Amino acid sequence: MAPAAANSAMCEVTDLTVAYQSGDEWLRAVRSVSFEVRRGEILAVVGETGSGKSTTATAVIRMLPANGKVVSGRVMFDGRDLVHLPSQEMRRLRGQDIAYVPQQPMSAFNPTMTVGRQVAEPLLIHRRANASDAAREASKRLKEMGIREVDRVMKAYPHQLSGGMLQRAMIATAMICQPRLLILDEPTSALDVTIQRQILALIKQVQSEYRLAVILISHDLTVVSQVADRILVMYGGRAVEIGATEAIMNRARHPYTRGLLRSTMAGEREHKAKLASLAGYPPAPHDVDSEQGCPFRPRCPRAVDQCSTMFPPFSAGGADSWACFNPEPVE
Amino acid sequence: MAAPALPARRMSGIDLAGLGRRWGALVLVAVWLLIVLLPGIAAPQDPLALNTSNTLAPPSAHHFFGTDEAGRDLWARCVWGVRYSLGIAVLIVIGAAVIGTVIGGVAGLFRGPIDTVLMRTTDVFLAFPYLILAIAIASAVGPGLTTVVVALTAVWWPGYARMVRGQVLALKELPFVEGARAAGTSTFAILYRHLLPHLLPQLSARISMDVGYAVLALTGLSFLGLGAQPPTPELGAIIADAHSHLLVAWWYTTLPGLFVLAAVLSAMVVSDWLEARNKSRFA
Amino acid sequence: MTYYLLRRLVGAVAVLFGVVTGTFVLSHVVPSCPACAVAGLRAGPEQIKAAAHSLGLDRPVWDQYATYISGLVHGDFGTSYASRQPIGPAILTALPATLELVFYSFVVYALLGVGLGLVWAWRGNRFESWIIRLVSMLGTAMPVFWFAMVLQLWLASRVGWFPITGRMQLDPPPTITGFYTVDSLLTGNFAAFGDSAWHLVLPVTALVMWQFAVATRLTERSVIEEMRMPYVRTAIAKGASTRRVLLGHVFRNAINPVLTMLGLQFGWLLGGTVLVEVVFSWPGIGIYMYNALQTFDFPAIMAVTVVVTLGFVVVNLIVDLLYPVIDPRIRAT
Repeated sequence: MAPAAANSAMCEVTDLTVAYQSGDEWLRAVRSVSFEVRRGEILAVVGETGSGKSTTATAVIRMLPANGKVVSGRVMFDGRDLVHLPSQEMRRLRGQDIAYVPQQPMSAFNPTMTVGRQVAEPLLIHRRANASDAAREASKRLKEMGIREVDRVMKAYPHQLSGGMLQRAMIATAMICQPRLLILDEPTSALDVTIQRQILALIKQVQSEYRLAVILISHDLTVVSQVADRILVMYGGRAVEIGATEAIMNRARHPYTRGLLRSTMAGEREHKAKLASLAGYPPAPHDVDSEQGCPFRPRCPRAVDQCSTMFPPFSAGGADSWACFNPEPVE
Repeated sequence: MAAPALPARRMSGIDLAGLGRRWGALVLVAVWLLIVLLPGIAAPQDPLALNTSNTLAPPSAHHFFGTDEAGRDLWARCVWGVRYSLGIAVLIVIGAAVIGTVIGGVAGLFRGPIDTVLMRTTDVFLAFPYLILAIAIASAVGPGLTTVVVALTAVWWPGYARMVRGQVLALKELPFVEGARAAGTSTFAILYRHLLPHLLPQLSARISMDVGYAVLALTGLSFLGLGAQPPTPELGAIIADAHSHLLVAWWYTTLPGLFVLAAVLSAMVVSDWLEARNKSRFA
Repeated sequence: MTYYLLRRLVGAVAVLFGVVTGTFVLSHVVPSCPACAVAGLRAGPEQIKAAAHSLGLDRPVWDQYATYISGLVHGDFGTSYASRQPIGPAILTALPATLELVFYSFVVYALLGVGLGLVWAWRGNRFESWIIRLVSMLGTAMPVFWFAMVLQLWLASRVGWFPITGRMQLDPPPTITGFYTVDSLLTGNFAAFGDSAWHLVLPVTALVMWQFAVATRLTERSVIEEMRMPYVRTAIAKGASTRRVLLGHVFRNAINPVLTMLGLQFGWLLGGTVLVEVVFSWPGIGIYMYNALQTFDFPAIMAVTVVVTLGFVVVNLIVDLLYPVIDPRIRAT
């Protein structure tokens, strides 16, 4: 396996379609999503609940629940298609080459095991380290992640630590085997605003120090705009817009992205409009699966007839590409 | 989300092939009702009729289960015996459930010193291994079927008290109880009219399960000589008598137990159905 | 943590007090005429009064109660109505037999029940497991004494694979622990070991078969529930194998309700032991109680009740004390 060149794609997802089983039928939750993440960049995947963003991330690391499966598509990592990798190989990648930081650090830790042991665990799994060596390494990492009372944290149980500290510990755990791809699922949603900033700064710092490829899942455009290099916007199981952060935040072309921007503080700056919410509700799983055209059509102020016939193909323009028959004009 | 990489599980319930839970349960209940209410149809022979010329006879067309040491038809004795067992078990469990519900409900609603006293008492009862306590009570009161009812009810109510108290504690925080209180409803009315409907599903599933266990418990007491006195046929007593003839009369030992097994299994099927129904309704 | 321990200990002592009072009430207050049993069926009112006097039954209730309590504290369990011998030594003689039976039954029960539940939770609903499930379900539905007799009839009497009654056929080994199996091994008497073990098989089987479905069902359910917890995902994301997830993470958390269940099941086991001892003529306190029942020997009955309940309280106390060892969240309170 040749090491990835400086700017080549670390992970390339092509036409990924993931479905869940509900009763007798399989409902697609993610439809033909494509993107890539390069070494040394942070790609944020943004969308509302039910947009399929978490499912996409989970599918990349092959951790879908028992009732979910990848229907079609490819996930290339290191020249290998993860979708068809034997499970033994996949297990070797997890925690070692590809790390996943789950939501809600407070519940993601095992309540009856010390934090130290849990942080050291990937070493025990992958490197067959002995307990003391692993503990030493874990302490080092915790310090690196900005934890000051390392000894106390190592011996502590999850319920004795704050959310911020646990998140730092979780990131330490993810980094302990020096992975090349890091996936973070809503890393700041469960935290206070001040802690959010710290964690985001930490992510940025770790990413640049280790030249990681990072996929950051979030529903909060404001949060990700602070650290992401590129943003992928998802809606109703589809990728609707993807581009450089600057382009998205200032010149988003897809009506949904614009809507999102208008409903956040970041958008207000540009448009000097009042905080406006999007009318209507995101589609239910059944509709996500059955929709022929664009899933945003029912809520879209710019919908045209063509929008109900098929999902629009991507058009590119500068550092941005969008899937829309009637995109917002450039200002 | 369920753990990935680990396959999905499903617990197997008791499901009479093809018929499904509901019909299985109802059919069984019907059969047992028939046996309990109209034993004469199920067993044509007289369970008390002595026949010293035909003692300890193996099963035959005339005597399905053979005869015991006094020449009595074992099948008839079993049928009549199971009537007692089921009837008394139902009595015990319902009695225990009522007492337990009242005590648990009062403890949960009032809290404070009443709660403490009631729960300490419950703890003392629950500290005894169940059968040991029943034996102690039954021996003190004197053997007999009524004794068994008293003893087993005394042993069973604490379980219900605890369960109901726990549920009441959870339920009483809900807004509708506060509303009732604000409207001035008396505590007993709250318990009876508002809380009971919520308690019933879990209670009924547990009651039907406990009927089976009560049958086992009372046959155990009878086995020890504390229950029905001769010549009343009672399955536990019958099995106890059979012990003396273990080596010569296999049917005497083996077959009556099957009756008990059938009764308890039926209780479990009914309970299983009720539990499944509760889950689908409230899950 | 010490506060937790103290509270549990005090609670246990309080409960024991209640237990002892309860047995006193049952043996002295409830029976309509405790002396009648002693005096015999044909006794006239004179003899009954004399019997009552000789047993101290005509003294005021609180006086009897005080004597009872102080006696217990000194280990004096009173005198048997039937044999006129002190009860304490009689129980002590019979106790090892019951302890040996209960010990092996509980160990086999715990290992089999919990182990099987764990395996099933791990491997899921395989086809061949249904027969064990069926058998275990039948186990809970049948009277333990009947099943013991069926085993006795078919496996001992009919085919002679196992002995019909008793603890041993050969001479028992010298008493070191009171467990025939252990004592025979300690004295190098392998024939005695084999013999005593052989005698244990059927009674233990009856007791285990009777309730092990409860253990498997609860363990399986508990483990499956626990596998849904978020930290399981975290472990898998680290690349942990299923085995590591289960043994290293899940089991430790799932064990809490299992431990509670084991404690409670011990109580059922104790009750079942009485029945099984009767069937197999096992010379333990179960059969001692049975004999006491036949003669309405209240002090003996109550003494056994107190002793057995004490064992149950102790076991549950141990379970209570194990919680903080396993679950660090409880240690803090």
